[in-house]
Amino acid sequence: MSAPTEIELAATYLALRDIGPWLDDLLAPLAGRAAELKGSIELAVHELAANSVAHAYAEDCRLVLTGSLEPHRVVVGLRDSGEEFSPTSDAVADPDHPQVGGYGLMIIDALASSVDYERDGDTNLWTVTFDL
Amino acid sequence: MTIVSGTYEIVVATVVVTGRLDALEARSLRTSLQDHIADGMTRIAVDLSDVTFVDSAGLAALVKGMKDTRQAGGDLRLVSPSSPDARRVFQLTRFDRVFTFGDTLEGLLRTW
Repeated sequence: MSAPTEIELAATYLALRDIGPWLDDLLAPLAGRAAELKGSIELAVHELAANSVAHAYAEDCRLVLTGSLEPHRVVVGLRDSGEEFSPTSDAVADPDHPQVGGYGLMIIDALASSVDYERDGDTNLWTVTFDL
Repeated sequence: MTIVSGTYEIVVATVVVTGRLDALEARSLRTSLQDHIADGMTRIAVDLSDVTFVDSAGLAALVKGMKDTRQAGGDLRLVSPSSPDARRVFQLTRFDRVFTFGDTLEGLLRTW
């Protein structure tokens, strides 16, 4: 089990591009498996962070991502001090009735083993796990 | 009996996207597609073969373009990303069944 790593990002779409390299470091101990897993994990974590940028935040705020590598799973946490998350109607993948947007949470649910949300005071706390 | 012959030319606009199609770049793509549609180009081929990452915002830009072109009697079709990571968002959202994909731009243009 690795010690948790943390990265703080500005709540901008440009800053989210630092997630990939941060995950490379987090997953490095997995050696060959890292490349196989990284794509899925990066998309899920990126969607989670992008959701915060889009809905929770003013531009000068910060997101904090934490990551840990456990024997059988990867755990990623996201906290922000933006508006409380309120799930509205989420998109349903219906090829006969394609929607333009709203697929972020569906993508996260599909890729992660578990997704948990908690509001703690003024802070949104997300915990996403990926079984190895 | 009278026989009249003629030719009909189909014009397709092509848009090539490379690198990451994420929330940062999706706006530019959306604008580019809307500009083509405003100019009357309702058949658009978007080449994603060299795209390395697509997120839901990138997908939304493509879906918007698809819906608008289809509404105008045309279509927006895609050259499939070579990268499995870039194909993932289409598979998860089942948009791989909604868009028409081609393996190459030349192949895709022949579908019209």
